[in-house]
Amino acid sequence: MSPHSFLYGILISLTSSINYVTTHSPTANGFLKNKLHYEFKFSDFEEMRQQKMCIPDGLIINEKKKFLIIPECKSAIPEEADTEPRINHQIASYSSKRFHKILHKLVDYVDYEIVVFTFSDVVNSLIKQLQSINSDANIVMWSLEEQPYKHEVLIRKVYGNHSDQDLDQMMSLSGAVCEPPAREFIDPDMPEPRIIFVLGSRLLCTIGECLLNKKMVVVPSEFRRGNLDLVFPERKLRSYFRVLSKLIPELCSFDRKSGNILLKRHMKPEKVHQRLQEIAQMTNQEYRKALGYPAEEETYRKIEKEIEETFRPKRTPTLDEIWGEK
Amino acid sequence: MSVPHYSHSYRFDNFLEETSNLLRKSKASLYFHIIFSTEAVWKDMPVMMEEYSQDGRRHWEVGLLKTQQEDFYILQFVRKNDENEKHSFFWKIMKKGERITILSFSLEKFRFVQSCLNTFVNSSNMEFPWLGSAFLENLDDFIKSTFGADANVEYNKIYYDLEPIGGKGKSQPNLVFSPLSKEQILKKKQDEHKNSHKFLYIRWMKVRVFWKEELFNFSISDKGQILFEKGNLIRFLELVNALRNMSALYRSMAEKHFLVNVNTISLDEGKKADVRIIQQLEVLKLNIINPMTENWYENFTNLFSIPFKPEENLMNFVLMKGNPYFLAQVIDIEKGGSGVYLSATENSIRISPSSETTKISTVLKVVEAVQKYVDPSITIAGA
Repeated sequence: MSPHSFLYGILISLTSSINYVTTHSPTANGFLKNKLHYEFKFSDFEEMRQQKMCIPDGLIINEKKKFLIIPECKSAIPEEADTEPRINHQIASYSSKRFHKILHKLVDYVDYEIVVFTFSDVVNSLIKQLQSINSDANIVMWSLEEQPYKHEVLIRKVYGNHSDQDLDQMMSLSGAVCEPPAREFIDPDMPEPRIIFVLGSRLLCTIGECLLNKKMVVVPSEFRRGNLDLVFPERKLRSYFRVLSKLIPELCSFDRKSGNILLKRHMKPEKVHQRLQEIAQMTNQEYRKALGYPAEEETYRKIEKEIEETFRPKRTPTLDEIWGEK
Repeated sequence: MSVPHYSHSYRFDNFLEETSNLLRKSKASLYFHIIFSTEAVWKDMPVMMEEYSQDGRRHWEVGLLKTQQEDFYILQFVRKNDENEKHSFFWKIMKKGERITILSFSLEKFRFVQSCLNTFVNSSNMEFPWLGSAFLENLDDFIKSTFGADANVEYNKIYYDLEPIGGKGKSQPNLVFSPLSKEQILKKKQDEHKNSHKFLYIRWMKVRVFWKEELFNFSISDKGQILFEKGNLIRFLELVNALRNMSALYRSMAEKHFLVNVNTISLDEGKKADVRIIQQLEVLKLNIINPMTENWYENFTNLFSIPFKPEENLMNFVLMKGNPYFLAQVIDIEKGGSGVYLSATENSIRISPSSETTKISTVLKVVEAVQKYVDPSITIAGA
């Protein structure tokens, strides 16, 4: 799990219904959800992705106040001084009209602000960057105070002011507390090799059940229903399955016709484990090379799009379209 | 005891009466097994029995005989090459909603329990409970909470494994020593850990209970299997029932859910987008209250950093290692297994589902591994 995913997990722990169950009494997490009704929502943001916009790390919404927080987790700042920091593009994207036109279709809100969430050791340099940005959007920064992580972590506001007075008061005075994440959450901006690792390990989780039911076929639609935290569309999942079968043939084989995957009944666990670990650590270039694709981003995307298109269901034309043609 | 030829008029009361007489007169012993199942699996029983019987590797044909009582059955195994050899297991069925608990009784020898009942349950979607070593160690408290504080419990014999911490290789063969008090077991455990860095995991325990002028002699395993040798059977059923409730509590604690609400929104040009909310994420938390070892956290990270532990069929992917914070994905690749996320902070171990619902058997297996290799005092009951 990358430091970015760790921050993402903390955001979810703060704003979702998480129950820690013991035989004595359950203790609930979701500090901001329980105290101030801020709730975490996530999506694949496909529409924004297609329009080459930056993708936020989920959405935090207060439905009572119709107030939206657009979170951005920053685990580190890039070292190259001559390149424009990515945060500049992200803030510009999250405050653009185009972005909000799409976002309004997904969630109902009147006002919004951007929250940059980071580790305490990056706060100062990130504040400097934020101060240099010229944006109409209200920008606030939260910092993860506790390191190393004990049984609780503390999150405090370190820059800017929240438009919601209650939230502002809470985050600046006592801060918000939660347990460190008890699981990995799939972050929408996860690099592709990491996605393949997650899918591979999730497929391994189903192997015991498949063996018991003597059915080694994994159907993408069924897999999605059992893994609702994975937000990719079905055609994307099929193309990932195809990649997985290519990179780890010991684990599964892919049926091009149906898009299903067939898990191997007799696999060598050590070998599959090693291969998955290797994939998780691959850079994007190494990943493309392993797939036998050109290392250039553009050519790779073109090939990837073609593969995805083969799994896109053919759309039946609407009556209006047929009528229009006539 | 063979199946009565008048099985259609046979009832659970008849069975208890006959068995009580047998136990009084002879040296017969009675096996109790608790089996967990569901309504769907129960409906599928004819198919499961047929598959089992037709499996070339099995020596038995299995059938379920009805009795006069609708919740009481006789599961009968007949040897394929000798139809006169029959072994019977008397099943009392208890239904609660979708869940079914079977209390299985038998006067068969251990080898037939293993080759008939165990193979049948393990080949189907049914499961035996798991109570663990820490539960057995504190069995006296459990018996007193059931029978009353005046019950006198004596641990007569203990069969245990010694597991090397986070190491590879098979555990040592079972050892026996007797008789012991609870304090002596604790001392033995601490000494073993101090001298050999190994943990003592109790597999079986032979117990004597004196209660209201009654003497009960029985053995109990970490998987809740009981061999009843002496005592009032009807009164002993009280304890079996309490054990069933405890096993069910362990199972409900182990079953955790990750529920996500999906809201599909229509966009322009027939496009659709999903917006999702985590409706509920349940995490089983094992609080570390009085650990036997000071370095439980180190043992924990060592164990779950091993890529693959063949003895347990567990595969581990370390996702984050901190001090003191550890997160791994643990996958049970055994038949019927599944995966969970496992994490530890300074004072707790947490098990979280990786899909919609955790497989109970996988969670209990992880807790068993924790008792075997991390710290034997960590338990669901003390969570």
